[in-house]
Amino acid sequence: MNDLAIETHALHKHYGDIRAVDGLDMHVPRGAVYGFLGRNGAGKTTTIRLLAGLAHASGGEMRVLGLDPRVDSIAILERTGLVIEKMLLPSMTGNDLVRFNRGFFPRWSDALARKYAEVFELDMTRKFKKLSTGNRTKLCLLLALAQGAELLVLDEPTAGMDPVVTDQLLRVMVEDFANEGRTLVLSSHHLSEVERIAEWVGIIDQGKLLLEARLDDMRTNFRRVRVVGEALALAEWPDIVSANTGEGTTEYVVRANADAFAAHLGSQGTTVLDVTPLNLSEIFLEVVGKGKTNVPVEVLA
Amino acid sequence: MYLWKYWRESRITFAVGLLLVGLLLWGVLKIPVGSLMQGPHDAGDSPATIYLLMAAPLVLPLGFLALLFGSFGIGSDMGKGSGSFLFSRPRTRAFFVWNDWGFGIAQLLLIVLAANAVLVLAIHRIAPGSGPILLAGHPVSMLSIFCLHCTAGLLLIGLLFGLTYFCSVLAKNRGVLLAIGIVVAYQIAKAVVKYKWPSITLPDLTLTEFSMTPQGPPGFAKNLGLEIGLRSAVALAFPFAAQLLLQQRDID
Repeated sequence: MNDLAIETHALHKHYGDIRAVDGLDMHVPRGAVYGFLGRNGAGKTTTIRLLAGLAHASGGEMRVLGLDPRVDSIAILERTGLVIEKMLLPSMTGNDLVRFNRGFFPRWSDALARKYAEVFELDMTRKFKKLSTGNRTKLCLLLALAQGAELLVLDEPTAGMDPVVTDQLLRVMVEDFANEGRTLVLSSHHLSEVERIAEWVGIIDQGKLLLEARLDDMRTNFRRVRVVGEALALAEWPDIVSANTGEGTTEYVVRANADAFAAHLGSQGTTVLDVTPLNLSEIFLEVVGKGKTNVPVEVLA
Repeated sequence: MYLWKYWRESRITFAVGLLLVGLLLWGVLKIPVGSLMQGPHDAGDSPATIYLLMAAPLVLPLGFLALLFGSFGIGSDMGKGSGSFLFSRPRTRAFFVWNDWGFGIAQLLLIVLAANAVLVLAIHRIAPGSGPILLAGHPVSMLSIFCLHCTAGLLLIGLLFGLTYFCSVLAKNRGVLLAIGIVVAYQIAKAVVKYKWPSITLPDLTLTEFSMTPQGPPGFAKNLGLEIGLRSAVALAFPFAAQLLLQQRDID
């Protein structure tokens, strides 16, 4: 069995001249919690739509649970819970939606639906269109969880939700789903949420995956190195992500081998002021090019 | 599951449709057509003609119902933003189209059958002895007239229903307006063609030619089978086109 829940190779999706997904190579290990990060319009939702079979790829390869969405979309959808647009059938109540959904999924569980209705404190007799944003998301998640999926893909699940509901949803996703050995893919631009639960992170920008790695590895390897003096020629060190010069100092962000880099600078007579770790938010900003000088990084994993 | 959803959405229209047809027929039965039966029978005053006269007012409401039914289903759901939800259920896009279409046409067929059954009963009330109706040179039974009108009705609603369904998939919430626009444009084009080139007649949507077959001279609407086949093919082309369109399209 393939040990990847999702795998894409050179995946493309073009809308005329716009390259929404531009050669995406993505690898989501089975059983992982994967944070799919990117700015608005980076290509996260388009990628998820391609994986769900809702959109047609312009080129490239993709596998979901070892199957090709273009050929085996039914088998994939039976085993995958998707929360993309948080719009279900507006005139149906929660109970109606459970009844509607039940027949589609062979592993559907009414017991789970009842459990999450209680956990989320949902009024299942209320029509979907009358629910608040938070409760709509909860109902979407309830349906996805009750279908007994192996893979859960959530697109911006916490958008527009208050911190209490966000916390509740994240806990359910991790404790009830991911801890069972199933795969959770969470697309978001709320970095703190992803940092809290993700084991793996993929950063997408302008349709390209700029970085994909274990979060722990990123925390261990990414470092900011501050030195006295002007920037060195970037070509000299392959792990440099960015270099910013100002007020007599230069700040380098390196994606690996920070100590060796600092030693290299020292050997050239440069004074190294400090070497500090970066959090996910800082790494994200560096990788998507918020630094003044940016070098695209390769996939770490 | 999915048919249940379609039934939830369409049941009120279905009930209103039956009620509307019932009311119209009740009104039609109030027309003093019984006097037509008192003279000698010929092609002009037969029960078949009375059947046609009573069925004619049903054409508009049936057409309207077909347009309404065509607006239910996937096209309307996509217009409400539910497309991603529905198409991420583990079923093919063809499944949604043909379930919508099959269930919609079945409900419309029930309405057509009910309307024609009431017409048959009405004819029997007006002309109790008209079991097998014999017309000059045309042995036509009440059953064949009933079947002919049901077929004509089904072809008309099938065409309008399919057209609206396709338009709803194409233009989402504006599908009904688009379908009405196409029907009106066709009627105008038909009139213009008839005015400019009197020898050319574009096919009638209401299938009057079929319905009048028992009244016409020998050879009138002689290619009935072929016409039914062609019109069925046109009516079926719309759900096929809707399926193809959905399969090619990205769902947003």
